[in-house]
Amino acid sequence: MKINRLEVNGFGRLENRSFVFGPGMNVIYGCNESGKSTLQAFIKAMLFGLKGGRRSKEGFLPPAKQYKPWTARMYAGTIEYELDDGRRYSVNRNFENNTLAIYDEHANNITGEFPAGKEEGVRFAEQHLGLSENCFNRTVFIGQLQSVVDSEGKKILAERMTNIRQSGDEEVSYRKAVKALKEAQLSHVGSERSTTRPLNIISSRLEEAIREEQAASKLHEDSISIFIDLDNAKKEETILNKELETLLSKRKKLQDIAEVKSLRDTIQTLEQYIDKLNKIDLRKKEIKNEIKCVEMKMEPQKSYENFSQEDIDSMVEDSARFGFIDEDCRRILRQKDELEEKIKEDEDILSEYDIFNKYGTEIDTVLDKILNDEHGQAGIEQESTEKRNRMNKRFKTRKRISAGGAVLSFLLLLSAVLFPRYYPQNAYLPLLISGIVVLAGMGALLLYTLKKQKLLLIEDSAKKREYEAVRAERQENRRIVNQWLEEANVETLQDFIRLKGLYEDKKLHLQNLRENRERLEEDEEKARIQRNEILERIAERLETAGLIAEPGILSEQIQIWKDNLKEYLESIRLKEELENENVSLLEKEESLYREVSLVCGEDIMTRQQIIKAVEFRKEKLAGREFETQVEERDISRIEEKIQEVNEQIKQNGLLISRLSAMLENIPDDESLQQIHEKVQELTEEKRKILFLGEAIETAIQVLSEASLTIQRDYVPSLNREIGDILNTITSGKYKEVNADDRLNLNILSPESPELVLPEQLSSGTADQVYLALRLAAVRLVEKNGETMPLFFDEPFVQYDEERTENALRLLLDESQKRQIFLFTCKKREIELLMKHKTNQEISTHCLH
Amino acid sequence: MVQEVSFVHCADIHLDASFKGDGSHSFSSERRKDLKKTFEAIINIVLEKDADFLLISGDLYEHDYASKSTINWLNEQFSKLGDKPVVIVTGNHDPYVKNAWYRIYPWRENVRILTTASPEFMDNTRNVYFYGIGFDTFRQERLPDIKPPSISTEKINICLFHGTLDMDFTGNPYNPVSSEELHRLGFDYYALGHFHRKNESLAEAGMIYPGSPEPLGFDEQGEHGVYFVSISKENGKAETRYHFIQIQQRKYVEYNLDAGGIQSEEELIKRAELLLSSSNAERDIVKINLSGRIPADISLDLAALEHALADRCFSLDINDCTYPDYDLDELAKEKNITGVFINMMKEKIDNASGDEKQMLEKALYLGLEALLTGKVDIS
Repeated sequence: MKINRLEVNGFGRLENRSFVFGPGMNVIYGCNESGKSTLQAFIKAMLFGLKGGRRSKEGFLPPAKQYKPWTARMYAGTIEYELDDGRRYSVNRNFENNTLAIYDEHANNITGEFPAGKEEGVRFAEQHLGLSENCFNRTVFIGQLQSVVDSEGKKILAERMTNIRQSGDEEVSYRKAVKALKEAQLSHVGSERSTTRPLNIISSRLEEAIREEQAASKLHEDSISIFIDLDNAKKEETILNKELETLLSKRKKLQDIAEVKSLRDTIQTLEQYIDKLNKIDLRKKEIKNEIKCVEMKMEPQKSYENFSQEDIDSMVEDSARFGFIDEDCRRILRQKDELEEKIKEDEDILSEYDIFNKYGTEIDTVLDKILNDEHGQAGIEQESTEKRNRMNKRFKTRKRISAGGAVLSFLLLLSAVLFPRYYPQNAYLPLLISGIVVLAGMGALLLYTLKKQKLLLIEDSAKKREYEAVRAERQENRRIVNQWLEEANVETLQDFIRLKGLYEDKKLHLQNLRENRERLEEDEEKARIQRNEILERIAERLETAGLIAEPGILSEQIQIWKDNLKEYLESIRLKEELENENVSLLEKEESLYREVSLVCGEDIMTRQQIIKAVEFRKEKLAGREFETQVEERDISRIEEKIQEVNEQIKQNGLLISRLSAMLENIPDDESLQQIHEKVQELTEEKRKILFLGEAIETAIQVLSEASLTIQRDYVPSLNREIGDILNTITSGKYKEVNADDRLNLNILSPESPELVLPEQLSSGTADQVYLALRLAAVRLVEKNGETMPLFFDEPFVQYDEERTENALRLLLDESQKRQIFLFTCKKREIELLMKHKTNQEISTHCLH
Repeated sequence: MVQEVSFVHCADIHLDASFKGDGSHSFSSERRKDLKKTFEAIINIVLEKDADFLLISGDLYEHDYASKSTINWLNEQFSKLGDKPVVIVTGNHDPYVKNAWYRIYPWRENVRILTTASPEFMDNTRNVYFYGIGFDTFRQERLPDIKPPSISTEKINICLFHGTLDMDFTGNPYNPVSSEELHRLGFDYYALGHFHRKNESLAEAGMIYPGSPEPLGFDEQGEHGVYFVSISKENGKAETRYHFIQIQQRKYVEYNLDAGGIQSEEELIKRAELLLSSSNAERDIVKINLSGRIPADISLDLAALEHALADRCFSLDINDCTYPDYDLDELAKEKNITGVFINMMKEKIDNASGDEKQMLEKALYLGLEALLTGKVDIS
């Protein structure tokens, strides 16, 4: 496509201007604010129209108003262009009323041949150029080329180049888009690895809510279960109460039956008691009669009333002893007579020993003295002499020792007093004292010995006088004895003594006989006394009983007494026995009344009361007859069962209370629904987050696929184009460009085996590479389509001379293939173009 | 001899149900109160019309949520009817399971619950035979094995049925049956329940779905209430008259609002206000579906919009179906990643449906936003 002519009736500051362009390089020169940008906008507007509408958010006017001329009457213009196939078209557009007319080279209005939209208008340009407005704008309009003097500039340049490679558009950044999506995903969704992002938070809340819901649901189920249990317990309570009622009724019936039985038994028992009491009465009467008979029998034997069984025993004993004692008396008399005879014989014999009777004990005294003198006189005297000699010898020795000691002591003392210096000084005083003591001791011993000797001499003279008296007595005794020997008519003292022995033996025998006689006499007396005592007792008893106690008939009387007494005692025993039986019967009667009282449960003292009790019970029995017999264990069983049921009722009551309390404690509100609604709400929220997450993920994935498609379909061609262009503009210095795995652009440098990144290139080379990229991008866009004109708007403002020159050379080359519009305010650039042009035509237009 | 009875037929009250609403507890709580008010209205109709009995064709309450206090309240409501029988068949939301309130609660004597084990009730006073086909579990893919009905021409025969009628029965777990099958049973009237929208298309055959007397969601728009039915029978031939009585407390209303071309949020609020002013929004539960292309430089704040309109509605839900105002056709022509991306996404969208399609559309606009602006703004 080539733009041949522009007619601006009125557009912004341009008014009634006409431009005719050459097919190659066109330079539109003008200083700032001269209308260069307006002219570019006019070209775009002529092709694609102007957007209307209201003021934008930022306050900018919509394009349709922005370019409305202030002074010109018309807001319109015309563009004439020629396509690559040689067809020419003229388009008249009125921006005021948004109308246009398209004419072919034959001036035919072909406006109707193109599709039209309400807002977009007639879309002829898209059809002719094969590009949308956006694409056209981004492809063919190249703004100020970035200064790449500093590293920041190189980086931006590199980004743009990367954008072209990844997205096919230097303005559209695949990386930025993916980054924005990932950031959105992280901040609005999150992932499984994250913990604090919305998805994690909502999942956590949802899990908690689900747990709460499960708990609430269980509680709800539990409450129903408890309700069921409670209902069952209440039903059970009703059943148990009915069962209890039945049991109580049954017990009542059994108790009635038992009561009837008890009444019957009681009546029977009471009647038996009445019978027993009657029998007792009968017996009491019999006893009374029997006692009366016994008493009548005892009347004649009243004299025996003071006797007892012991009296019988005493009587028997006395009777026996009386017999024995009587026999003893007779025996004693016989022994006494024999003894009298023997005594008489002994007295006759003793009358022959008169001397011994005459002198009696004197004989013994004298005989003793005589016999003792003969044996002891000589010994006494000898002993007295020996003792005296021994004492005298001892006194003599003592006197010698004491006299010698005293002299020696005195001499030593004297020497000590006179010659004290010959004694050791320290022993002088003890020796002196010792000498005094020894001297005193010896003196004392001497005095004692002399005194003892004097006493011994006095004793000896007394004893001599005593010996003389004894000797005189002895001589007298011998004279008497001799006299007795003569009287007894014996010669020797020994014969006299022998005769005296015979006399004493006989005398002793006679004495024994006499003593025996005395004892017999005593025995006789005692027996007599006893006999009389016994007889007296027997007689007293017999006489009391009215019997005669005479010795001849004593035994018979005693027997009568005994028999009578036995008979009387037997009557007494019988009477006592009867009386005892009567007492026993009375006690039994009392006991029976007590038993009856127990049976009746009230105090019963008379038979009449018993009869009344019987009648009372019989009245109670009236009309109550049961055939069923009740055992005690039947009631017991019922009681047990009642107790059991009562216990069950109690337990069931406790269960009801417990279940009721549990049911009370379970909330009976809308909490379950509320938590369920919360779960639903969170689930929906989570679904939305997941939905968003999935959408973002899909967008990233499809973007990635799209980027790969771009690289696959677009980048190899781009690489080739860039290579060609680079080869031209760098005079063969760089001719190969590649993309790495990370889609970074790498340039193969002949100076280095390593690939270099655009930002590593020199500034000039980077410009060339960038320009080559742009041109390559344009070539790709227009591939198989129209060759687009290129519009450069002050591209080299920041370039130095050399770089501008290189770039312009490139543009001159390019202008041979396509129409180029260079908008500039620098004349130098026109000069450089002129300098370097070869066969190219340069059309220059001046705006001012 | 002519026999004549009249009754109120209702179903699907769903007492104590949970509600998906505006996310507030007060909304759902209020809706549960609405259900009770509606039920009270039903009881009042029975009394006002002096109907002979009340038929409830299942789903009277929600087994999963029904509280003891609600059941107590329900029993009290039944007591208002005195001796008038309340005949109930169990539904899939209140099946006759082990711990069902129907089974364990001491209901009033006028309440008759028809179950699989005991599907019959004979009202000798009015000479009406009731027969129920309900639910023993939460799902029943076929009709329960139940004792056959004892139809007699001398009596008025009424069948209470909860389940699906004349649907594609494959895998339907809710007592699937055809109307022909039911009709062959020979009842004079079929009190149906399960579907929440009233349906009297088979009324000629004596079959009526009364729908839920109180709507439960946006899929239950329109009129909701109960049927007052009179049956007269003479010489074995029954004649049925019926009319619908609307008793719902609130309506679910859905509006579509094209927000395309709006220049500001204020403009959108004004449009929505205009829309709401034409309805009884203060009573109703409203959903606004926003659609249309929104200029790329306008970002909709739905929360602010809901806040601005909250006072005008009992409950408001705004469903944003708008999309950015991109010229997709134009952009698709670009010979760069934008064009390639749009074309790829379009192809995927064309081949998708339902939720996936929505997701892909969202992905398309998110990707475009990221490409064209270098950022993604998710409000």
